[in-house]
Amino acid sequence: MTSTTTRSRTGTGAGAGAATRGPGLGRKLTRLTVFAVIAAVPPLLFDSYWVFLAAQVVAFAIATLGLDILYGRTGQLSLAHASFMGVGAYTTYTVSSYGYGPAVQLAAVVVVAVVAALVVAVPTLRLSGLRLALVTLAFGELLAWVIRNTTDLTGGTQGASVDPIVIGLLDSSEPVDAYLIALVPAVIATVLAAHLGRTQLGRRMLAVRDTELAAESVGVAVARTKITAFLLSAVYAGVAGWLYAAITGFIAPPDFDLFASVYLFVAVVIGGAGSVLGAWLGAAYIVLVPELFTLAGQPNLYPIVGGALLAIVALVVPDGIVGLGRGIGRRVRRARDGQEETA
Amino acid sequence: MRLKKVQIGAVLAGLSLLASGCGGVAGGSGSSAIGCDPKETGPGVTDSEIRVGTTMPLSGSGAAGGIGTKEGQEAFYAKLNAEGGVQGRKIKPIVLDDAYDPSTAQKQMRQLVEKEEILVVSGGEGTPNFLGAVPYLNRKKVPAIAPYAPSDQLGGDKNPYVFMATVDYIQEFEILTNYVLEQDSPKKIALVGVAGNVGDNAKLGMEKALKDKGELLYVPETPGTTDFTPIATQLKKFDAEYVFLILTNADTGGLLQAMDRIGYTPKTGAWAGMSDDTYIKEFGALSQNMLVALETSSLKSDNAQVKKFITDFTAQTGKAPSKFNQLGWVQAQLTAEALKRAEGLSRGCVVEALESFENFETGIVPPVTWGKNDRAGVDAVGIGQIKGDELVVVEETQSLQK
Amino acid sequence: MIAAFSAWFLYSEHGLPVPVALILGTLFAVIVNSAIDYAAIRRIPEGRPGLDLVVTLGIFLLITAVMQQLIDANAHTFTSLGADTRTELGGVVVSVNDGVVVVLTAAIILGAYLLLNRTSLGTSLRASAEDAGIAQAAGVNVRALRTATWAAAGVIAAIVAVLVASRLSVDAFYMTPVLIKAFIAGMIGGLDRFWLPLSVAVGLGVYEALAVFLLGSSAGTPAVFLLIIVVLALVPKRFVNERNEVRA
Repeated sequence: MTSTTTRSRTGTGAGAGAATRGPGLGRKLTRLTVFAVIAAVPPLLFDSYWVFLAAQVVAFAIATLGLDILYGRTGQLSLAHASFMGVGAYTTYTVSSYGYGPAVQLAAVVVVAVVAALVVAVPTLRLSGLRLALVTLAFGELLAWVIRNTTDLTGGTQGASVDPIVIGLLDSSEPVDAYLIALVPAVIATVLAAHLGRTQLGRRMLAVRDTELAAESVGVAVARTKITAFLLSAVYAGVAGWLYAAITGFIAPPDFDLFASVYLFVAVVIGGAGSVLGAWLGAAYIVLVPELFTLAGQPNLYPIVGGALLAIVALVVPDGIVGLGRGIGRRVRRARDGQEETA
Repeated sequence: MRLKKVQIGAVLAGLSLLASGCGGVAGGSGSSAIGCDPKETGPGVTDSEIRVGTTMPLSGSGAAGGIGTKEGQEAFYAKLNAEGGVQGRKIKPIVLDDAYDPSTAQKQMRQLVEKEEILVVSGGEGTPNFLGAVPYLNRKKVPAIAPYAPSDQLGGDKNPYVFMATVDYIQEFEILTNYVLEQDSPKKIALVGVAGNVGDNAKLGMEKALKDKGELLYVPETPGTTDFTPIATQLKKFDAEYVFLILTNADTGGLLQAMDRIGYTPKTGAWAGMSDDTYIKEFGALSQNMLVALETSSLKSDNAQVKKFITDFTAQTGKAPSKFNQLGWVQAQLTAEALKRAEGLSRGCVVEALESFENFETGIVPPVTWGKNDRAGVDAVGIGQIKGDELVVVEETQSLQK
Repeated sequence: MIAAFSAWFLYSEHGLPVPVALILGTLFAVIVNSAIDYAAIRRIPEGRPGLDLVVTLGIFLLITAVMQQLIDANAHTFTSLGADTRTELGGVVVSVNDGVVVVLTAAIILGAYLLLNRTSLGTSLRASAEDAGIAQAAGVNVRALRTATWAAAGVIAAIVAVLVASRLSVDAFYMTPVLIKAFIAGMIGGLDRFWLPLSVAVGLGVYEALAVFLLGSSAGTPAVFLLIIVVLALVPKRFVNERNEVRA
């Protein structure tokens, strides 16, 4: 590991790039329109199974946005992010089994996620890199053990059926309704994450990511920044778990195990760490790509391609799909400028 | 300042979401009365084809059971289709891998119902995984015919769309324990079972039989465990005379190896999965004299239907059948019979047809009976014993009711 | 895993004699390990925290998936290394297989110690781990040394995988718990030390076995992971300083 090496890269997405200037009104409207058009596609054009998958993408996007805050912006390696999703999902199950509706569920999810994040973050403040990853892995495994051994409370290894949530006329057991329910918190989460890069907190996170020592020397409260990142990321994951439970209607320990955490990590890296768009692309990747392989009649190829792609992306385009897109965009612009100059 | 605006906006949007959450939780499953309209055609039915499907473990520690059951179903449907199919249509079975995981099974079942548009669920293999899919099937009112998922949660009116053709593990382990108590008087018995409903049911059955006749240790296990030394150590420390097992075939073999390695070789008893030839071939040496519950008829039986099954299966596949092949075959046989009897090819009509089964003979499982309020199908279990590389029947099928 | 799983495949499915299958499996693992270094690890860009972990995770997912596809996804019993005849020594039941495992483990540890401390190759290895630039300037062929190190690590990992398989069963994931515990020992003991991580590994094994014996089979997992959290949270800061941590 070479975590103490100072980095000079700047263009890692919304975090760094947008720290200096915000988008203008026109740009904002364009983004809003593009988002609205894309968001309208699943319920208008897809059949119910694909809408169900789209709802899952939306839930996972909240989780990957959270992991991006922790890893992409603050540089903290966590292998327990799916466990925090599990905290959200199992809190939802427990609260809903007492008959409480979505408002109480969501409030409970946020509170429990914050407490869980504090339990993980405080003892691990001085750790980073592989050791932090290892301790988060240990917390994840402990949580999985607790779930497996508290059958009366959580359903244990057998898993648990979660009642759908009903908000007004929307019932999350119906794919279109689930999609619309998930969209609201996802939009809020996206706006907050996009805006984070333009705040002081966002800049402090980037400083901690690039070099803790230098950040400390210029007065950044490293410990507080790390804890805040952990808390934000855990709340995002908890909300994602709440939605996941409501959308799928069934949760079991493998949904939130080490491999699930690894795949969330895969999503952030392949999408592009440090970028809101990258988090969304990553979420779409881990939900939709397995389906595409199934459609092609080769479902077993997904894990092979997933592993290979993760290694290749990390080596060749460390900024993920978003970085690749930006690189291509820059080349196109340069080529166009070159042509204009020649003309 | 800008952050504050965003925060306020986010909070307002969040509050509106929460405020609208007055509907609360949707609960309860629907009624089984979906009715039969003979003119109606259900999903997955075309002029030439009826799509049916299920999920099974085709990978992981439970794969042996899933693969065998799938082969059995495919062989039956291939034979049926060659003979003309049902109601002028060929049956197209679709089997997806759930890796013995409840959550995966639920997702795969959703894919079968919503994407592949199957008419009914044809069988299945594995209890924890199938139970994962049951709430979804109830919500969607999709009939599931004869899944091999013994559980006290199935076969009753709690899950009216699931029609069982095997006893639950409470009965199976009560009968198995009663048999041991008739032959012997062990002071200590241990049970190692798949954590969750499977193990809990087996434990309940043993407790019912034991009452206060012996001490029982229950050790739950997570399917796919690679190192069984901890469980073997705990069993040896308890020093039970009998160890009962309700694990996947690969895990049963793994645990017996670990027990053998530390020099602990008690008498053993197990669920019906160990009557499968592939298990006896791989772990027979470690399983000598193991008592095994029998849910399907012995392949050495003189029963004419059993002999016909062996001939038909061998003709289709070119190999002799195993216990799981038998299960798959009978699942397909019962599904095809229901489709044959259905007045119309809709889910409601299939349910009505299933409710008309009375002592239906398959030759493989005991006679099957379903009715308006009866989803249990059968209530009998036999007992076999592994001797050499064979399974010997030591007690013919018996019912707890008799 | 590659060594043991492919050896199982060769002797069980293709009828090769067990010793030949074990040698071929080990060779295959060494080749794959060296290829991983050549194709991926040495190409990881500097200055990106966590990227080495990401690449390693990708390769891990790739290898397990490929092995599942090439061989199969089920667990299988592995051949015993020696007779299964058991005997009782001081209340402990041991078999010839256990003896082989213990003797081979001791031989590997001794061999690795002698290689690192008593040979010029070992000195070069430690020098390049300390500072590759200075070692290169002093005439050490760091690239060749690196490839040799990965090959040697491959041999040791392959032998360990076979030893573990002889006591458990093989599938694409059977080494994951072992890997995690080895990793824990390395992190707590320090990857740049020799005896401390080994002692931690042995201590961890004894501690886990004791927890299982005293509290039951399900106590092993929480006992180990709670210990990691407590140790890494409380251990003096100089032990968790990553300055000397070699890229794993």
